[in-house]
Amino acid sequence: MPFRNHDTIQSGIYFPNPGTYDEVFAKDGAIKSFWLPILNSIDKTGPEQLTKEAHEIQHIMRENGVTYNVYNDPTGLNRTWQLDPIPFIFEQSDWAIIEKGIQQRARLFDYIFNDIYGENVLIKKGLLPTELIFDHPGYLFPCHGINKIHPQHLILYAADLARGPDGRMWVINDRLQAPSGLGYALENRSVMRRVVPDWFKNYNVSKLSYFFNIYRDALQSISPNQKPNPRIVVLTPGPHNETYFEHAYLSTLSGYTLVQGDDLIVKENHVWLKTIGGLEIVDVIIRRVDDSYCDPLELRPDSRLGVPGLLEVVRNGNVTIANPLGTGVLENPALMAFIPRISRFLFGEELIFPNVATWWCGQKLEMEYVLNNIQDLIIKCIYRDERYTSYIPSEMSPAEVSKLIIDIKEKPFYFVGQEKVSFSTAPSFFNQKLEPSNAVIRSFCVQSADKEYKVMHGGLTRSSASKRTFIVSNQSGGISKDTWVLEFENTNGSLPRTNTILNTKKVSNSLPSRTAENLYWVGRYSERSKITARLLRLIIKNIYQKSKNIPSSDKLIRQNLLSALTHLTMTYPGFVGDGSAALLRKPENELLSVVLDGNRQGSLSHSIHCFIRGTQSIRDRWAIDTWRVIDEIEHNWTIFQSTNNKNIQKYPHTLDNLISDLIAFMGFNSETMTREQGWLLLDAGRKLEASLSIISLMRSLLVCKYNDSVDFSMMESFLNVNENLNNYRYQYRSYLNVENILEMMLLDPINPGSLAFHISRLQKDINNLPQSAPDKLKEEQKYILDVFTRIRLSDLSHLCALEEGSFVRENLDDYLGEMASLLTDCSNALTKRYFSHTSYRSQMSVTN
Amino acid sequence: MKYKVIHTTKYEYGREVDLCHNQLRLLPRNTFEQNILQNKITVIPTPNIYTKRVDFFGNNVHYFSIEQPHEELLVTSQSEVEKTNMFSNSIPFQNSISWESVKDAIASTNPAYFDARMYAFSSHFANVSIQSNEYAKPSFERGRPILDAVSHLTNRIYNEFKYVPGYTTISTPVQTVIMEKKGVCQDFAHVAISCIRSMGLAARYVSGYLETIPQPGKTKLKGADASHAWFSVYVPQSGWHDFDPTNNLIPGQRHITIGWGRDFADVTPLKGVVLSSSWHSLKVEVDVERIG
Repeated sequence: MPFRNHDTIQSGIYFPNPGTYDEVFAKDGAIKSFWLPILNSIDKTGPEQLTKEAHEIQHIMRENGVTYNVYNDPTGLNRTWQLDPIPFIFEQSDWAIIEKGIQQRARLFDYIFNDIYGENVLIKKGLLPTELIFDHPGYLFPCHGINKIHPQHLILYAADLARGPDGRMWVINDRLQAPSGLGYALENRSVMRRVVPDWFKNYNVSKLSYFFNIYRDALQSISPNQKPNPRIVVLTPGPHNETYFEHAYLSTLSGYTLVQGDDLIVKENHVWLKTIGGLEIVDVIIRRVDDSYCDPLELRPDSRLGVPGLLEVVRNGNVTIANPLGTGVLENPALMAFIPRISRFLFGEELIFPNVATWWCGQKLEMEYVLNNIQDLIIKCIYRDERYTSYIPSEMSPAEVSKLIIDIKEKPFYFVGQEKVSFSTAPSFFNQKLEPSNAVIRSFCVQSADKEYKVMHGGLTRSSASKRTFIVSNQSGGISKDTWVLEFENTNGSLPRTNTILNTKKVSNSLPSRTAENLYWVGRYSERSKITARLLRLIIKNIYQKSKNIPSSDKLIRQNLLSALTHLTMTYPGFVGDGSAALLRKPENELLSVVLDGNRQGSLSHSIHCFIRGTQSIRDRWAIDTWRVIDEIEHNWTIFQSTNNKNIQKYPHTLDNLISDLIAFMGFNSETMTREQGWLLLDAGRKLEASLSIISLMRSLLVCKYNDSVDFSMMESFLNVNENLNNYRYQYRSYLNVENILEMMLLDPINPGSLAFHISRLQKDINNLPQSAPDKLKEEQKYILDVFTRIRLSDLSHLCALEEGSFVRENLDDYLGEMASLLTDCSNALTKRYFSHTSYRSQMSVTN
Repeated sequence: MKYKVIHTTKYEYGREVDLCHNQLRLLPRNTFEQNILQNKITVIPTPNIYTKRVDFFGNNVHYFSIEQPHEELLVTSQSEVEKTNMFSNSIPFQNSISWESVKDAIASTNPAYFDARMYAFSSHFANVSIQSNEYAKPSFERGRPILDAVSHLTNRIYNEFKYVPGYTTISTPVQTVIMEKKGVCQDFAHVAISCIRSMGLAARYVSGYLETIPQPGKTKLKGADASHAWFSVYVPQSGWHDFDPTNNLIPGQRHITIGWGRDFADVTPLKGVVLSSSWHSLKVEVDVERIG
């Protein structure tokens, strides 16, 4: 390979900051040899190519829906995950030390965890201050003593590392609650392999799948009583959590069920998953909810994210949680000041990783030191909560610093001062060129089935967007990097290439009730959005794309269409109730509201939001293509809304796109979803909504009789909204008449737009849902059978009959009205049977 | 002296409840001053799961769940308690060591004070604040014997605070109680604990009962109709010393201890979570009768 000499590369493409340690350069200033192939390649292809690659990465990330939610983001948007094309590279010899350091630390924390919830030797021996543990809000007294009966171990551990000026790696943070980032690390690697496959050819990069298999085996092995086929769930706080993407990603990847607290219930001293087929025992919970929120009975009573009674099940050894409840207290930077001694005491070992020098203000001398040197330190709280921040006094105003000093003096035990270390830099691709940026590497390890800590050969590197920050976080806009650990020539190949699907037996995949409910409503809202959009499109074209001179018959047509809109969307009073006369004369504001007002139930915006929210809370259910469409609907609608578009004449174009996207969403689902319970509910939701809509439109547009010209318009509009005008012409080739339309749209069992068709599909879906007594009809089956029979037995001439002098087809209206109420009852019965978990939980008042 | 205690708690729900999980701390524990002769908890309807354990603080905790539809929950705790060995650790207040030396002992790393030390910190319901420190200071003059200082504080709370049932709820912050000077026994115990901790000392919350039927010629004590609460302060060597700020008493023959913790949250008599969207009502009755 034609290597250029490194001077050219150095001067050509990358300039580190003078005086700081940079990853690329050895002490003598020469480029480390393992950086050469990649720098060389970048140099050869130039920044344009790298820019293209960076764009492609972002494109894939967006398409795959890889997001990171930012709290309090006013736009409410999920931020697309950022990945820098330049990886962070570790040599094997360098990594070997890191690996040992992580293992040592994990063992140490595992021991501390067991001690502070057990014998308290460390406190009694004076190795840990009492208040550091017992006064820390993360210490959960109800968890004390569980270990004695059912040993609990730290299963997952992650550490944030950065390279200090001496070239050694330092630990900045320990993550022991529910370390996040593993999913992002896996996704980063898969995107990198897609976008820059050539780079990997020159390196022997350790594969991540090996670790992921160990991770799965580990979780399998911790189930109570070593069950061979445990049910493992991922407990997430829900779609608003910052790393929700990852919860869904990991659960899909490993085949675990993604659940929220409401999906689980404690009964008979076990944890159960509520599925539409009944309750199923849960053996292992991978916890992504902070421990204090996990059980409102014994921990935080205000929590809605947990499962009441969970702790008692843990105490009885009937469920294993990874990480165990109570580990939050260990995410305490003040511990850094004490663990070197603990390590000597327990293992007779010095820590492999140096800690960042840490002074805990709970000690008098240390507090004085911190206050005297505050300008040179970073101040951190020992408890991480929503408002957790680190303070950099040298960058704060004098007033802010004095306020901080008062806070420290009032609650000294709450604060630590940490040395400001200038960490190493590594090249990142910013502004079309390589720039040095600080990097923090999160390294992951898991306690494997044989009780040893295994470290992932890789990790999640995040680098700061600005050059001078000591704190790197996703919340403040960091960018991630793929993390490469280079293996010696032949070791990578010798790693057991296991395909550890221990049990190829298909696990029962009963649908959690909450997921079922979401699918049902996604079905309903997708259909509702579609039909609302169609009617709106028709109305807007009718009103705004015709000449100004309207004959009186046209006025009547418009009025009828507008009231049909109010009935369909149930946005009463709207164009039908009090004050409708004025609105009918000038409909524009009301129309805008029915399109745009997200707070108004029934508006198009409201339906779309409900649709999107529903899809997001079960995002592990959608195929990637489906997800892309959802993302597009959200993206386009957000833009449409935020442009504050008051020009209603331009709406049809937006509505066209929306309708196409919604149909694409439905199409992808019917192509990709297995015809299991999930599909049945999604489809049932759609069919039920479609049936209700068609009934509503029939009642608004076909029940009354006017003059021929108005009748024609009404019938034409009805067929148009239902996309059946061409069908009609093809079938009847005749003048429009109500009887023919009803034959086609009400009774025809093979027309996919007819009510008969919807109802028979709905009936099939409902019949295929799980049932406890298959030979007895369930309530919802009875309702749907009733509707089905009414359609089959209907007599068109009776329905269309008009009494002498009357303009209303009373028979038709009654008939349709009864069917609508039967369908509503059917939906209620479904809800009651399958989604009944939605009942509220309330904390009984405490007695005194 | 022997007492029979009957403590009943009755919940009524507006709509049938399918499932409830509960935790109770209603069984008095053995202490130097009392022996539990017998006790029994009855729950109606019969729980599906019922477990017992002793918590971090040494209190008796029971857990139960009822997993079938019910509209009512009735929990009855019955105990016979013998008060013994009264004032085993009593010393004249004036002879106790100074509060500063207690503070220094607690602040030291001496493992002998490990148990006391965890009661020296802020806790959720008895958090230390500038207000509690300001209120405490006048009682803690330099060099004052600790029990004398605490007794002075107890006396001030009794005289300056008004016993007003219903004025506070359990979530009323202790700072508010100090400002408003109104509340019930839990509040006064929390105020005292918060004040004592603000001086660097250790105090714990005691949950218990008071004799409900006054002896002839004596008035009925406040807080006797429900469970009662007071506090205890730590002194090296002699141990924990109880004070009742609600009645300005040193708890003795007429006080029966259920358990203790850092504050109310650690010794809540009965708490539970039900799955229900409806209302519920609660009725508590406590009867403490002298039987010998």
